Amino acid sequence: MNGQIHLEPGEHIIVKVRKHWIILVRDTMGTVAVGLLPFILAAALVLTGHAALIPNTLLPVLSFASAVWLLTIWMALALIVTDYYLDIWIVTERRVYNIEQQGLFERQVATWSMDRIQEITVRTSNVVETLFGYGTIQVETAGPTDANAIAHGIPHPERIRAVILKQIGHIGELEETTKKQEGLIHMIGHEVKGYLTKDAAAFSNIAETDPVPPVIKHVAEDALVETRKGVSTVMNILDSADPHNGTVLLATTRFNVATTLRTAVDFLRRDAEKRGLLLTCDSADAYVNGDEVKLREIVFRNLIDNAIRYTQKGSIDVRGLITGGFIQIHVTDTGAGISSEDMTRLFTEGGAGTNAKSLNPESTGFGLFLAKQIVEAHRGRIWAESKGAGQGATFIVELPLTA
Amino acid sequence: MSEIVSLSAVLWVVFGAAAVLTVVVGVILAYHWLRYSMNPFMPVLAVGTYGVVSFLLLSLMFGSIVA
Repeated sequence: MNGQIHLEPGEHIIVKVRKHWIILVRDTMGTVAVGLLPFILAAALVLTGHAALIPNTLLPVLSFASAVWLLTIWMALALIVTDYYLDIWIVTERRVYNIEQQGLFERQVATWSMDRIQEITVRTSNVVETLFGYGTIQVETAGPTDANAIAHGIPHPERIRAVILKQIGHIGELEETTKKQEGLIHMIGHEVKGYLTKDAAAFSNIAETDPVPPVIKHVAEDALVETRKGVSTVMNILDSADPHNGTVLLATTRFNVATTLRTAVDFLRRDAEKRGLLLTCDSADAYVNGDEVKLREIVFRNLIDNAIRYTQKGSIDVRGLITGGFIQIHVTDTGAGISSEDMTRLFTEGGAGTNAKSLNPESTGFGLFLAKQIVEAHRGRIWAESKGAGQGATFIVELPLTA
Repeated sequence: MSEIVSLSAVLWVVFGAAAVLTVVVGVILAYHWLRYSMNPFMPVLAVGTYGVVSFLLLSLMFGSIVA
């Protein structure tokens, strides 16, 4: 937060500009003139010799009245200066803010994203503006004209215009670069996936062939497991590109979450049993509209698989609870828990926790990021709760129910 | 005598009202400076200047009544 402006993470102020000082002089000049008027009159009385007509008993009252007058003018000036000081234009890499303080209790903050700005118009209208180098700047967007989009009295408005246009240019370049990078990631991902799939098929053939020396069979089985993990990782990365652009494709159907949860749990039951963990599942029938495969594979299975990997002893409980118009899926474990430091980057890209290296060496740090994207694409929410490291954790997915 | 007393009373009332108004306006302005200023030094400078000048003017009023 910066003077009540909420900047996004990574957003920085490039230019901060107030109205030209001549505007302050113009606004205060009238008040100062009115304030000085009684004193000019008093001076005139003294100079013309009429001051002697004022009785001495009245002098303290006049002195008092002068002080009251000065105090009134002083407060008026304080209000004008405050109003001037709090009016400000801010340009960041992403947005333009126009903050207008109108009187004491009215404050307007108008914001325009760089990608919405179509043109910046600058105008210097008269001799004073030309002489003092200030003018009017107006932001034009594709939408209807915005009354707050015009700011008067901005010093060197053409420089501000240049800064904004430069930022718009940067954003265009960044978008283009991002598109190219995503294309590259897709291409590399598909290439790697192709090779890994061929390897997986080869290892699968070796492992299934009889007779094969036990050592070779064992090596082939291990290699097959690792290769399948590799395929899964690449698929995760490929899947992440689409939701990143907000263009995730969902094959939406109406399905029972309870059945989907049981399928996901049954798939991972052997893994849990191998580690000596108790895996339980209980859910009321609850129907949602969504992509069952993506929710099962990327969200539910991912959460349960994580719970198994991060729990060394104890149990994992998967529970579906209906609350209002939503179903909440709780995946609770008695495992490593989540520290407050890990909690902040849990659902971010590459946000593997501090325990990941020791407990989940295959973690790419993309699993929860992807899960969040998928849940949000279903207008749902996902979050985690934990009392801290070593205290276990609960991951909660909330999805809207359908009739 | 009663005229002087009543004038003095009026001046005290005006002084009291002015003092209260100065403080109220000062509090409101200070709130704005502290809440919205992006420069942490400015609220201190603004509150200080407003306070000192207001105090001097109120002292002048006080001195006029006492005199």
